[in-house]
Amino acid sequence: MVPQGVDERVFMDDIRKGPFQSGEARGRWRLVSVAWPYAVIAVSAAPRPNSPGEFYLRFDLSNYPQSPPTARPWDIELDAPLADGKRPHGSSRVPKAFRTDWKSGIALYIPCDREAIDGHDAWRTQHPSMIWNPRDGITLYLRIVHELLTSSDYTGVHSS
Amino acid sequence: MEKIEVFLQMEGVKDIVLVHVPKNGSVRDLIGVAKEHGPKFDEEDLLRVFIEDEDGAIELDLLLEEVGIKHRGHVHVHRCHRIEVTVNFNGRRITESFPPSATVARVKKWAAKELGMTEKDAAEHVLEVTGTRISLDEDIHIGTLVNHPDCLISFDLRPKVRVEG
Repeated sequence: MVPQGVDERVFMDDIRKGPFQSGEARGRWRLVSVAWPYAVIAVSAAPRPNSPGEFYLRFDLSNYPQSPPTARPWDIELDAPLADGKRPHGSSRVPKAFRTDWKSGIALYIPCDREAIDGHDAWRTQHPSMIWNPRDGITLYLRIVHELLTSSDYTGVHSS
Repeated sequence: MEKIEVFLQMEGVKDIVLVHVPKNGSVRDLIGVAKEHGPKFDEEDLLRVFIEDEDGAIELDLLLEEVGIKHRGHVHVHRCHRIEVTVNFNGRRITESFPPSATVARVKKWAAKELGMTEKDAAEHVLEVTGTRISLDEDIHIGTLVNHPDCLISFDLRPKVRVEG
């Protein structure tokens, strides 16, 4: 058995604490699996026609929480990236966050994502609430995604 | 002794804290737990327990089950028993009094109604503490933003901004 690294131990501690557990108790999100450095977390979405009640994100949590995580929508049945047509869609903020025309959609286009923040220093002043900080940890990322998926901007999956 | 988990928010503590209290315990037990997790308070006899989004402090000697505090319930402990809230939007200013256990979501819902916003418009706005650009999570209790004896707070209601660039 491989001993847990510091990053995995901190993550497992964080998901036992109040902020993550509170969100889970409210039905906002739930941990599906951990296979370090990856974790799959389901985030609930507002009801929309022909669309699921939750979306899965596969996080790469290497060097958590000092480095921001990066995540992409995941198909847990195929254990593969979610097909473009099954991604969340919307009128403005949601399609931007779940865009597929940037880095082939390997990460969410939001300031707390490790891949997305790279080269976007202006976001630090434009979106201070969305900038990763180790103190808030994984719930910061989950709150941002859950807000998008329950907003009036969200219209359902892309192909619905 | 069987215990239940309770989500505690309180004065002087930013995070939601998951605490364990005896299932057959009293409301006063939550004060004891809050003292373990929070700062050292002056006038700590003012500390009271509030249920999330309900009005009024709970009688301390009642049992948890008598007042409806269940496993994984959300409560608040604070010395302010009411908080005067001001919301600014497009040159308008509205005020109302809330318990410290009021969520940011509840305050926003009230503000949107007072300001005549549709539900859809309200969903695309966010509350920020006046003078900051920090958007508040809607599950946060307003008491976590206030310290006794200054039982008041001011928010700005702003449109959510799309991430561009």
